[in-house]
Amino acid sequence: MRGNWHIVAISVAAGALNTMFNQMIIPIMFIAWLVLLYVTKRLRKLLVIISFLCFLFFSYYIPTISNQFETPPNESIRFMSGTIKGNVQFTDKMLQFQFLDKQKNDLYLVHYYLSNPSQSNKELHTRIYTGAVCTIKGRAMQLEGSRNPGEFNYGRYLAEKGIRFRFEMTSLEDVQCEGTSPLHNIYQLQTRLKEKVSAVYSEHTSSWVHALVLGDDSKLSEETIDMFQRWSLSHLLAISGLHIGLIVGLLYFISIKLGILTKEKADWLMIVFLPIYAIIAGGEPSVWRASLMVLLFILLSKWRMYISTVDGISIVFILLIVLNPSLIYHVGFQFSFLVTFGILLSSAWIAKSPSLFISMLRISFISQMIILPLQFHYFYIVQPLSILLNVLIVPYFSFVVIPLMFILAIMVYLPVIPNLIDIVFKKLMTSVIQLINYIDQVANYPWIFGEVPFLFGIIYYAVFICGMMFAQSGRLKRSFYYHTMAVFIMMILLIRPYFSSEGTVTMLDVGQGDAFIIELPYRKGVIMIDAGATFHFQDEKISDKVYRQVLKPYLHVKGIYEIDAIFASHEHVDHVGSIPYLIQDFRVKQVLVSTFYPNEYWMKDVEIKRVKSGESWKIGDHVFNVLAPSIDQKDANENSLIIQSEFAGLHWLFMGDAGKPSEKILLEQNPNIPVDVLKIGHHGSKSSSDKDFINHVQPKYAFISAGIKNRYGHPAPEVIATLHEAGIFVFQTPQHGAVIYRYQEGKQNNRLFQSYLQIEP
Amino acid sequence: MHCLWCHDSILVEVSWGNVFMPSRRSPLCSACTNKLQLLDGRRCVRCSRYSNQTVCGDCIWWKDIFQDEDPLAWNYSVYHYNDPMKEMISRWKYRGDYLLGEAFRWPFIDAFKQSFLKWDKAAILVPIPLSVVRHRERGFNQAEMLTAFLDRKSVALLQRKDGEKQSKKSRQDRIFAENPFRMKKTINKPVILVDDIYTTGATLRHAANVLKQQGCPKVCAFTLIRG
Repeated sequence: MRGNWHIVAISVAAGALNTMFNQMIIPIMFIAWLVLLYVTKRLRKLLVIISFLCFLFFSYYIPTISNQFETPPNESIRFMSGTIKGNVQFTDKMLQFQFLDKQKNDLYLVHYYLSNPSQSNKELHTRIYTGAVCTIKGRAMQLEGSRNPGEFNYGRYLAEKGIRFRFEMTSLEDVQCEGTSPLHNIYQLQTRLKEKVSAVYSEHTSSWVHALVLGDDSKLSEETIDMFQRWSLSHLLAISGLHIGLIVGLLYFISIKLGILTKEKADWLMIVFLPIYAIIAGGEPSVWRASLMVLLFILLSKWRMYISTVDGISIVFILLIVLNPSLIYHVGFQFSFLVTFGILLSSAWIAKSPSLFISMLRISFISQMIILPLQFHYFYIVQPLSILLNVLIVPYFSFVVIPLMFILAIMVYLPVIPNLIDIVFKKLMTSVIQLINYIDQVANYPWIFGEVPFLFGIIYYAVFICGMMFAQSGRLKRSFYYHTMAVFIMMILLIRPYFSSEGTVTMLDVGQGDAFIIELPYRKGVIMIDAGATFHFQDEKISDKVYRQVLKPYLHVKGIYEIDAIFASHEHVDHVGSIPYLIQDFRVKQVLVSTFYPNEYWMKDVEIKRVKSGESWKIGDHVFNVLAPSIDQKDANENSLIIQSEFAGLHWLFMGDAGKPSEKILLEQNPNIPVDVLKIGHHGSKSSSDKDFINHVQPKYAFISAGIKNRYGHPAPEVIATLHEAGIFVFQTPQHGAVIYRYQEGKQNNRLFQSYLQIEP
Repeated sequence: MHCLWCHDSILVEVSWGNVFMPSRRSPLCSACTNKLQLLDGRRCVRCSRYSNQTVCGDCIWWKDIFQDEDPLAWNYSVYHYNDPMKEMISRWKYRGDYLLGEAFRWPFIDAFKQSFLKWDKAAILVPIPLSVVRHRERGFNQAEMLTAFLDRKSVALLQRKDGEKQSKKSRQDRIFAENPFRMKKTINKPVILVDDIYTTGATLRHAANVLKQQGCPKVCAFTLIRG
């Protein structure tokens, strides 16, 4: 087995992939690989059998995650008893923990919204602690999935952690808790350490100590975290091998060199300390990976067994998956193991580097390239220059920031010197962040790939591994040839949309608001009709939630970086609130508004075209007819742009928020207007969609965009009744999520309506 | 696993080259493997000796002796006979460390594939035998062990008369000694003679001579070491 653990680990991973992707090619390739290994006598029979059994077992052992979430057995307010699992999380808005139901052994995610932000566990006197056996009162709820393509699937994310339902506690008064587990003491220690750090250092410095020593990045600014993610620097914020290596080295140095402990005793100290530190540091998979690897090597050396690092990481991988099969879905777990594995495989190549700089470059290169398919899969976007930025920033973190943070954490109890370091660090860190910010602005050339097919991953890795093989054996020309091929394959992905004859019209589910995205075939144009946002009533601000959670991910998943035109129907936030964010991040060529649209602050940043009723606008050789507004009705809704256009023989009419008066004017001016698909005016409000109007235009399909259980009661039951009476099929976002109309250029027989939530029409 | 030569434990280093295709386990550690010198680069096309000429002086001399009818068409060897190899061979052959021969399995197989696979496919392997006395002394025949590594039909065609060890004789003695080989039966297929070492080439030529005389169409040799 020694020297071959990675074969077993690869088999385990293949089994997991088989379950996660359910692609025939995985078992076929895996079995062909094993047979090849056996026939060429590179693997003994026993190992071939073990590998195959691992593949089968883990295909079964890894839980499958369905996108259809179960409805809880009982949705009324009730009591539930069970045990609190893991850390109890407190933010200033909510209290959250995982709860194992005693009756059915189901894992719940329990939350309670705090009425008063200053409430803390101490003040609440609830004894809601890790490991406590509790009875709580509240309502079980179904997990909620995503409602749009590209949108983060929170329900799936929870399900991947093994959580079956959510549970909202209605009050804390009826909670009865008893006891704790030893874990609770460790979490308490963590809380106390955090409080101590916050008390001694400035807010800025303590936020970094929290993130890099205690594994809690919630105090870092969202912009910093975002920027680190964009530039593939997030690994620096996750506690991993670098941190563990440092703290292990530091502890050994202190205990042995200063003569406090013998080597033997220092080893035992490490064996006790590392698991506790792993929990204090947030218990993320990257921490466990690094700690367990060190532990394994210390333990094995006690038994005079020596294994290679590749064997070490393989054993830790298998161990973690056996203990918690859900981990395989954890993004951090995947990234951490893949990058470390890649670097270990390259260790000979990295060691051969002629200079320290080159070896840093090689490490950065491998780390970035080996996760590319995952990066595409999760984020749809890549900053090619991040390899170079990593070379610049990683040494700064490895040699300056991380050691400093650990020293600061240890020196928390000294009075004067730390404060000095605190001030210097703050200055230094601020300027480095500014530097990254600057680079973020001038070198921002992202590649937006959209969703990539599974096959791409396989081809990419095959080519990449060949490239690395040749690089390692010094055949650089060949290596260059393969890596060029890898880039070429990515290029093909990038230009995919330009060769697709499919066009789409998508009604996104943005809650209470409108946002339509039209993608013309062969990427001849991307046109939006409205880009709504929600209004934050507490802050009285336009929220970027819709933009961040729906619009941007959708555009990224479709590989869109340029928008040819946005029709802004009228000035209400639920129709245009996201336009300023779009202008900031995407190349928006023009925004078309009616002549009655008021001037707004963001208009200076983009080309504005005032359009009139009766005009036809050609965008990417597709014609959009403007049918309204023709007269100023002194009302934003009634002054909505009404747009008509045809896609593969279906005539669409987008009403904006136009009401009954506008409908009348429209029919007077265009009595014979052909309509197959009607975007119902004003979210289906009863002030729109007059019975006469509907019966006159006689659409086949109606589209309604409205929020679930919105405060306006949209869509009105009267309107729905009118539509049903007229035999019109109604698509509405509260039921269907995003609705996508697909067509082929020049063909009328390949049309298809799809609802994202898969309720077939 | 421990190295057959130095008994240190062997750590397999997994890298991009062997992560999906594990390298065949060498029973030697990498340090010991590196001590052995594989023959590569320019060599004599007839006897595998390091040489800048196409055919080395030795082989020209043999050619003259046999007046253009050298019974041995050519010889291919795998290793150079350097000092570590000398030590290893003596432990393997003379001190009876049979298992040490496993160290040569894969290099021997790979070299065979490289140089003989495309040669006459009907050719049959014939190990150079030991005399009955010598075989009893040593317990095994190193040439038979090497032959067994290869995936090709082999026949113990030859028999050897007892005599002085080759390694104890001078060059002249070896070359002009009486032919010690005798054939058990005749063969009409080409033959690849297998032995551990090609030193002067005399032994192999004696064997080749006997084979040729009995009607074998072509004889060449595959040896582990070129002395």
